[in-house]
Amino acid sequence: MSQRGPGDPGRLFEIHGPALYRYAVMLLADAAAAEDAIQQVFVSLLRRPAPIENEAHYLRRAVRNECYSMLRARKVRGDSGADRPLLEAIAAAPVAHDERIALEGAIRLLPPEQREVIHLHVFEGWTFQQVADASDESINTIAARYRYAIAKLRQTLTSS
Amino acid sequence: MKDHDIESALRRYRPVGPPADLHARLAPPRRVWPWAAAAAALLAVTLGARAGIGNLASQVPTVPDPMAQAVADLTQLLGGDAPARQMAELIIVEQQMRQERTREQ
Repeated sequence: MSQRGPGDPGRLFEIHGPALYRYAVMLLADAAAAEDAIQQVFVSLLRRPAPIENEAHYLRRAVRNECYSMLRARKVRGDSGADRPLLEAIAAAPVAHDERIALEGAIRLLPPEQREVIHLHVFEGWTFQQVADASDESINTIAARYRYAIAKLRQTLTSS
Repeated sequence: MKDHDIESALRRYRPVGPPADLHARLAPPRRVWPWAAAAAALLAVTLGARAGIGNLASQVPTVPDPMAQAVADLTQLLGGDAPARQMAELIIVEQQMRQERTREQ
């Protein structure tokens, strides 16, 4: 059966895949595990009998669930992503190699929930309210996670 | 180092993007369209018959073929010889494939 219709994983990946992959990389702090999560989610679309109504919302939720399932099942090895970078410099920004390494090391030490808030708020530009809605948490919880994350990053970066 | 410095440092980066081959791994193999397979089979049968079993073909009762008249007419227009017939068959098959494709869209 052709899969170039609305539920075609290839078409959906073209539209949503890169952003979802970046999200998974930050949640898992492991690029290889992020590939597994994305592959799992998109391949599962082939088994869906009905089309997806809100693709972006559905896929975001599916990737989030898959990532947290992997973390709960300890399928993500703590050190497995160390050989592959988590971050890439934005083209226009002057950066130092050491800075990226230090930031990645500090990010890896954060709990997944804090990495998620950092990703959605800093890298995707979401408001705390949007993050709260997406993760079924209160805005106070999200704001607190963000503060803890920044404090932990500062502590790690200044001590290294 | 202040919170603002941390945020500024983070904003100079973004998480890495997907590897180039991930998309290819997710896209299912494309279907071979039935009309393409049918056209290829028709062409193979036609060329095979012309190459080796010309005499035998004349002994087999012919099945009415809606494309046969079109091929014959076009063959005449193109000169009426063997290369003309071969060209006519290719053109008619291609035309048929295009019509099938249009109908499916």
